[in-house]
Amino acid sequence: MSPSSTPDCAHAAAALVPPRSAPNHARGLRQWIRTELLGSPMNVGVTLLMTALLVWQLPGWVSWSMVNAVVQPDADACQTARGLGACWGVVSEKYRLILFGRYPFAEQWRPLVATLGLLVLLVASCMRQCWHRGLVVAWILGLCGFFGLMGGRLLGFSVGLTPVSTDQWGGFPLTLMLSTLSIACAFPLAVLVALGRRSDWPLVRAVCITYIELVRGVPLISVLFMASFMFPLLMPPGTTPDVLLRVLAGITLFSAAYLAEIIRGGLQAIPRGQLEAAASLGLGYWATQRLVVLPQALAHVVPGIMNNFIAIFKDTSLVTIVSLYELSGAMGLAVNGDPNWRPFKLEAYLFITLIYFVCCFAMSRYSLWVERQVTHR
Amino acid sequence: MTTPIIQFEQVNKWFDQFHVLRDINLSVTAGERIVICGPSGSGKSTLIRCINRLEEHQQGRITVTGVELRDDTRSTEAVRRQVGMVFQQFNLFPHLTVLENLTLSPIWVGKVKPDEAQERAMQQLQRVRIAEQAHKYPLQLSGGQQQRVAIARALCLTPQIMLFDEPTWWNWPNKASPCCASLTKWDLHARWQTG
Repeated sequence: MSPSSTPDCAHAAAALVPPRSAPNHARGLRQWIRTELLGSPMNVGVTLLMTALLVWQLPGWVSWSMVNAVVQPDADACQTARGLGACWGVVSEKYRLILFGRYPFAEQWRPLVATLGLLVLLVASCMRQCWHRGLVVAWILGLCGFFGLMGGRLLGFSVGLTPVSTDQWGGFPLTLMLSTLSIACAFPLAVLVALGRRSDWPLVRAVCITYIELVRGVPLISVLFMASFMFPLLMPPGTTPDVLLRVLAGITLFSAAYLAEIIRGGLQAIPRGQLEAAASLGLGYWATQRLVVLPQALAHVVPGIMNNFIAIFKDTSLVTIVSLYELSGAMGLAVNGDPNWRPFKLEAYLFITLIYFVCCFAMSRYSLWVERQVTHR
Repeated sequence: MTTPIIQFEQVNKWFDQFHVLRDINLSVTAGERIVICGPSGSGKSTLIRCINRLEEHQQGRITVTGVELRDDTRSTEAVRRQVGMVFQQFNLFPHLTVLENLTLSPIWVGKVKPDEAQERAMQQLQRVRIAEQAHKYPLQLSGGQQQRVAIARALCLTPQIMLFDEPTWWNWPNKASPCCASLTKWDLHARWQTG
């Protein structure tokens, strides 16, 4: 552009400084305490306040939950320790009822194996090393195995185990299966509905908007109620699908509407230029959505999607109202019906809280990992 | 006289009530290089975006590589395969590496085998002297580097026509920059610019 730029460049080149390694800022614990906890008068104040709170509250908690707690399943010992220590005995006594609900006691190895298998599949699906075609096969086999083990029969054929009807399924296996399947079905449906709501075709758009608005307008509990009690009344007798399937469809359709709106938020953040670039490269509608738009849109809304997944996981507890005793329902079943243990419902609640927390926390950490994987800058 | 590769006949376009393209008649033969000049908002970008139908015209005929641009996706996609475009904002795909940006269309649209597409993409990247950045993501590159990737991406389709929307590299201080040097050597049939 200007002739003066050449000598400037020559000068800069002559004084070129060789690269050096970046300064090391690794610091010790002492340094961290000094800057992070005692860095300013405000920090000192907050640190003192939090320490005081801990000193005040922690000993009480420790003595209640550990020192004075009763661990063995002894209702009388629990009664004497009442008010002083926790009664973990209720968990030792009832854990099988809490974890597996009304499933026949002698057959409870089946839900245990089925649940462990499903957990292994879930963990494997979360790992990048396992993302190839074999995983699809593993899922098909895994789900057949799950339902075969749980029900004792598969698609009407006996698998050599005592049949257990779905209304006897319960506890954690039910929670895990309902949330896994409704998440797995709701997500693709939500992507389609989100794309449909932005479609150029008025009919597709109208259908998607109607679906979203209708579903968002009712509480999940009434959707489950409809699926469980109203739906069979509308169907010809003998053609009603299994209650589990109806409930699963209800949760899926309900969650998909919310998920669709989250995903639509992500779609709206994609600049027009991305679509134009894809168009100029000759990509059609579906290729553009799949290769260019959705990978970016979904990456934008990972926190929102995971929020929804966690909500689905916990919302499965509502199926109790249609007499399916999943984890929280099974806990109620286990403790409410037994006058010896009913006073210690709090401890039983803490036990299932721990299970819910471990699952939700794992999901939330996984979402952070996914976020890191999809950020490229 | 050879048949024109791009032909505009009495083309008109409106943005609502604003009449942006008025009776455009234009014919470009293969090998021609044309620069379109004009003040801001005069419709330079709109004109070239009509060539690969990123904008639709309301009246007149546009024929590109013998195909008339009409309201069906088939003809539009056929034309777009022959027309490369470098955008003012480059519009690289930020979720894909530089190499994946280049191979996306050859693999999914051109049905080229991934290995072959990568090999060709590396050749294009070497041509614009940016091959060492092939595995970085676009947002990790400088503006000038991104522009070179955008040019390489458009060239990977082996287009007959190249469109440049506001190619600001023309104003780069160093006329001998590797990018410009390779651009002048192109064996393209036609090259279009606005700016």
